[in-house]
Amino acid sequence: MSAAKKICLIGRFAVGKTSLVKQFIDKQFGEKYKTTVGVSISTKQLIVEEKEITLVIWDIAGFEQDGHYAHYMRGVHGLIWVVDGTEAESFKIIDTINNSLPEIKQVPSVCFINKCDLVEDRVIKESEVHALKEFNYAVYETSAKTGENVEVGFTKLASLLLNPQ
Amino acid sequence: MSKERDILKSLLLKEELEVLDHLKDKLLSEERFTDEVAKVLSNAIKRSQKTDPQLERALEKPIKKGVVRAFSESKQSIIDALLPIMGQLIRKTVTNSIKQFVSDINRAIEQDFSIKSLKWRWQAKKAGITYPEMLFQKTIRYQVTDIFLINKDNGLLIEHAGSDDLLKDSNAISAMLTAIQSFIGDSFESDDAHLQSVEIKNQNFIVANGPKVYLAAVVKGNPTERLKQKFQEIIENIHAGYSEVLLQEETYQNNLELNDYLREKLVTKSLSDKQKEIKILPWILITLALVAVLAYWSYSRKLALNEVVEQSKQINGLYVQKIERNGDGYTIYGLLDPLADTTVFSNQAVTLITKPYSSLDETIIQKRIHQTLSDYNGIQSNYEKGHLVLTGKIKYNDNQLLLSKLYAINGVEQINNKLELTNQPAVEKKEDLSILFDQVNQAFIHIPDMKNKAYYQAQLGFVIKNLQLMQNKNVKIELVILGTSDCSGALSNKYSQKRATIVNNILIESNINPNSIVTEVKSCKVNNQAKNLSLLGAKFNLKEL
Repeated sequence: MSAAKKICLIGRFAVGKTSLVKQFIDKQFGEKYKTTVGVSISTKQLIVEEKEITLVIWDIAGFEQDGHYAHYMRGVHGLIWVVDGTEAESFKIIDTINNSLPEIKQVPSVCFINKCDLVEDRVIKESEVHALKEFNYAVYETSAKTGENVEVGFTKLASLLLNPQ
Repeated sequence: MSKERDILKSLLLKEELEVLDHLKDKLLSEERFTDEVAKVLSNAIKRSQKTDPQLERALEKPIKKGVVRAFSESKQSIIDALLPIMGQLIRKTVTNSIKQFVSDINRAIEQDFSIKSLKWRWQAKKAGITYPEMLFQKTIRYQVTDIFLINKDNGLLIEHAGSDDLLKDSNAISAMLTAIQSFIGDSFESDDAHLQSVEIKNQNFIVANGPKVYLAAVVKGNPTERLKQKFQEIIENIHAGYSEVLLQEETYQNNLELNDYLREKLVTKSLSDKQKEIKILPWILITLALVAVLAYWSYSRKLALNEVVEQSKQINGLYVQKIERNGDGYTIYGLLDPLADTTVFSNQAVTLITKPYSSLDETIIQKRIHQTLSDYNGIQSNYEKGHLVLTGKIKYNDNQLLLSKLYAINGVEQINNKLELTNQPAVEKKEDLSILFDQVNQAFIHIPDMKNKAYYQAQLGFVIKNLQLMQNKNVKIELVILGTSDCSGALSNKYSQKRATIVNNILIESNINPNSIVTEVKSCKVNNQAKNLSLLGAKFNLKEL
């Protein structure tokens, strides 16, 4: 029997959280944007380092409202911060969330800087990437569209959950 | 030089060298070293587990390998150890499956080859649903197909019992239900707002909430309120019985005992059960039939009793106090006049247990008058409402005695004596006065109460006449009036005196010399016997002076 772990994807709306999950689960990408209402839940079973793990993925709707996500974060085992490499605003919101939920700083987390396929639109600065690395175990440049680093990122988090550091 | 150096070393570092040798010996001797490690190993593992998870992780692989090796090398020992647990588990699972299978087969046999099944097939076709669905609707009240036990905080599935096919991703279902719970809590801004039921993908979930975990049951059909209460009891029992394991995530979905407990709660309530419950109609009918039989039996008895009561009412001179059932017949308790005619009961099983009494019924009084008159010839009587008319002839000497007898009959209040006296004696001579004396001394004046003066005067008529005759002839007399009673009461003597006085007064009013009259009482002891009206009155003792 594999261990089940609750992980949450958090980030500003339209950064590509749902698309990342869809890419991870189904290896698919939809061009149409459909906003998530509340939360969307998926599961995926992985084998990491010869151990089975079931990720119960809570894709929480964009964090444009204060505090609405607190209920969904209860008992979370791992976090995936998602920012949009082409939108500076999506970085700023991380501080807001960290401040409103200080307890999540203790939760193992990775960060996805998404939409890395849109090279020309990239606005992120190295200093910002460095800041993200300070409170995340790993930071990945991902693309929900091409699938780049998506599975690697999720697997890294799974590994962190199986082997807490 | 080297020798000197060794001597110097031994002189300066003797003690340190000895300690060093001891430690060397301790470390190099494997057996001794093992002993030393064994002493601290258990404590070292415990402490390491608390402070540093590295040891646990380090031990994981060798333990895993060791277990695998043990399985391959000591199969029989492992089987022996697991058999009691696995055997029980397998037996239970197989039994449940067989039960379900037999139940399905039975239902199919019951339902598939009947007119009812054809009707249901037709209804299913009309409603656009499959026959099994219609069969379920018609035969199953509800069925609990799955039970999820879920961590309230993170939505992780603790245990799931039920069909794996029905809901393939039980982890996702658990998380989704928890998300809905969270959404409700968020919407109502309250931790007390809970989801109670929800329909997902045509599955009805009933939710029972506890403080740490909650239970979601998939129910097909129409769950009852009782079932919902049952789930609440289950979640309370789980909190009470498994509180320690509920928050240990490493045991999630791997707790056989808890899983077994949940499996027991997967129940099916068929409509046939419901029918069994409400199959009280035959009992109602049987009860009604019994009540009807009882009522008829009771009615028949009542009728028979009424018949006896009516018959007893027709008997003049019978006073009924009580009627009791006596086997197939009846026993009547009461008072019975000796002249009453009870021949009406001769054909029935009626026993009379009575005491004799004197009835005031007109028929009985008439019978009593006729009985009295039967000693005399040529006398006719007519009795009505206490008034008796006598016609015919009677000997002069019998007249007074007859009147006394008739007045002694209860119910005879007044006598209209139209009898023609025959053989009347002549009383011209003094020596003939003895007849008058005898007549007075034989007379008895009946005085049943103290009110009917006319009645007493009528009786005293010949006494007054005889006394007046004696007075007219200057015969000196002494008349003793003796009041009598039946001695049945404490006041008998007093009333006897009163009766004597009544007679005395009437005689004085009729100009009888009061100096010649003396009143006396025939004193008696109270006997507590039944009242005898015929003894209430007055007698005379007449003497010539």
